Amino acid sequence: MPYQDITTRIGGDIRSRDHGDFPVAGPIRLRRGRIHEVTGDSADIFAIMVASRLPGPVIWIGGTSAVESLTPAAVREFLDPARIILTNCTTRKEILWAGEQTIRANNVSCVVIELHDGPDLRTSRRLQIAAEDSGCTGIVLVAGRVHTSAAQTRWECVAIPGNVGSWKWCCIKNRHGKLGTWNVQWLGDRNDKTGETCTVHLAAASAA
Amino acid sequence: MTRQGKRVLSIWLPRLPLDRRRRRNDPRILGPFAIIAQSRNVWKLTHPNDVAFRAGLTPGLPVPDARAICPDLLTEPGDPEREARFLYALRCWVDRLSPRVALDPPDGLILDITGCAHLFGGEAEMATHARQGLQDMQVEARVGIADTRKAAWALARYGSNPIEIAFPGKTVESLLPLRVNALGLPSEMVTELRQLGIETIGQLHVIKSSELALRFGPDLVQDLARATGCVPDPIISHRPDPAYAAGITMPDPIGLVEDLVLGLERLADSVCRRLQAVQKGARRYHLTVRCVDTGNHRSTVGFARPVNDPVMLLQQFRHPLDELKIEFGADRLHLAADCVERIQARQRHLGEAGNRDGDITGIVSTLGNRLGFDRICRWLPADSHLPEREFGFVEVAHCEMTPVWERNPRRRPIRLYKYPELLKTLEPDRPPKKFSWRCQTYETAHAEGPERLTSEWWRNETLPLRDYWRVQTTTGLRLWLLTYPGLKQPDWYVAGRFP
Repeated sequence: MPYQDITTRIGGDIRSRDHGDFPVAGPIRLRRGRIHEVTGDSADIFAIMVASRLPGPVIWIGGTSAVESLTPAAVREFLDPARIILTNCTTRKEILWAGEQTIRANNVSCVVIELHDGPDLRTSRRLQIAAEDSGCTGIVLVAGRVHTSAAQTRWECVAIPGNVGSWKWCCIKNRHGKLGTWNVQWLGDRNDKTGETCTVHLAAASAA
Repeated sequence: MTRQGKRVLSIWLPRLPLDRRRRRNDPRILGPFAIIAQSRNVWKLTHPNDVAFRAGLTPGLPVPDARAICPDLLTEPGDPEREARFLYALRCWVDRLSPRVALDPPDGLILDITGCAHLFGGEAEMATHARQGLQDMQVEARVGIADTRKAAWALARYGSNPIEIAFPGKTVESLLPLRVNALGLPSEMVTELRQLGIETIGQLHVIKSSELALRFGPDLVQDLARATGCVPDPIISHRPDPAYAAGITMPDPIGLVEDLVLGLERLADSVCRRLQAVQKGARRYHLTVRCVDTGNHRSTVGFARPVNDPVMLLQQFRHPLDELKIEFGADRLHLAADCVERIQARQRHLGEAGNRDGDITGIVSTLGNRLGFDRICRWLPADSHLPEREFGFVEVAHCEMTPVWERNPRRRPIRLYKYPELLKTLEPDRPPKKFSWRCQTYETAHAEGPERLTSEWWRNETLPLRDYWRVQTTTGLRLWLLTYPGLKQPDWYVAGRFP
């Protein structure tokens, strides 16, 4: 299992503030205070995993049908549903506005934004600047097409056939770091009492 | 002794319940109509309207008798709670006559008008003003003015004119011709007095009080003494809910948003300081900006929690102020707090546990003010085995507690579609071997099920039986398929998607 630390090659963007990084699964680490785009069928599980690794409330912003279809019964396995605050928006403009406002708020450490088509360069740059200012990590779930964007990383997440609770996470874009593919498996709560971030939920094996 | 100069005004609203319906344009009020109340197992008329009066109905008549006299009669039981609220609302209006107003339930108001009457040009004018004002609000009123509370009460109810005034020092004289029930005595005592031949207060007044006390007890003497002013009978006015508001009027109109913000800052400081002093906060604030050319512009901001912090207030008003179009400037600002609630001071947890809870009041308020507070919600667990009823939504702004989630024994999809989506079966089986959904073809690799669910037996509804299957497709997508068993050609639906 070759160890891949995607943050080892952090480049020189000096103007942006560095907020450090945090582990998501095994060697996979994400940078705090940045925007990460996720596509694919199992994108929502990526967002939930990331949220479970960050403290505090999680604001989940999306269109009405997207937000209302999320079920706490399944979320419960990965993180406490009481931490999630749902924000129903009707238009793309509203979603982006709410996303930027929430990312700018100082008390939130994780924001999930569900969009149909990915943000373009301008919108994603706005979100990225907001995230850099506040140190909040933003996850943008893209259901449809992706555009060229200013996001830090882009991931594609799909379920692995024939193996319940395992996914293939593929980093297809990384501004400062390596690309790679990992097979991630959900091992359940090791610590039943707390079930919190102290235990390793996921084991990731490189399959690149 | 009558205390010098004390004057009391009593307002009687004889038809308060009827007026309340008249104000709401109740069409029933046009025909014979009466408000009824139950006393000792008998429904009796309490407030018949004019048409009913003309038909010969009087208050106190049992409803069956009234129906016999007037078959068209419509009735409705009184609603004491709403009437009390209506009376309270009228009390706020009557405030303009005197600062000392007391409620006199169920259908009266008592005002201490000492030193107030000259502002209206005299007592008669004041009484007319009150009566006219109430009339404009479609409320019928009778007014009595006297030196004592009881005398004013008696004059309003038993005087011959709608406005009855006993001049200063003449209270006793004006009471003498009134009947004894004007003292507000219990009906048994009135009957007893009448049996003794005592009809009016005048007859009662000439009897020695010691003899009266011997026969009827001290209450009657006390009532008489209060009415004539021998015993003080003060009016204890209930202070209405204090208004937390502040206004500022500028000598010259201002137009720059920065200047308006400065003005608002002063108002917010003033309002919030008063709220802080009583440990209260408001969930809503109204700001009225009066523009010299376009009139009042009112904007409202809401908060997820009661707030008395001027900084948060300014933050939320920033957007409405920016939206405001001011051409020739504004010369008045008014800020009022609404939905004032007590703030529960909370102990902050030490260490990370406290920070983790994260004060999201600010962001919830920001989102709620723009999108609407009903759009910001969180899940609430519910007791049901049906997947769509396992949880509900609750507004974050109105939910103080954090819901506790138990582990679910059943496996549920991460996405549950509100309306199951019909799929096209290509190779039928149970579940279909090959199907197309959302313009894509899938093949079943592995299926688990069925999980059969019936409707909730404790509810009075019959939902069809459902079978759920966990289906894994060859592409890796895991779906939750739904079918209704018992049909010859079963349709299959996608109910949800597993992570």
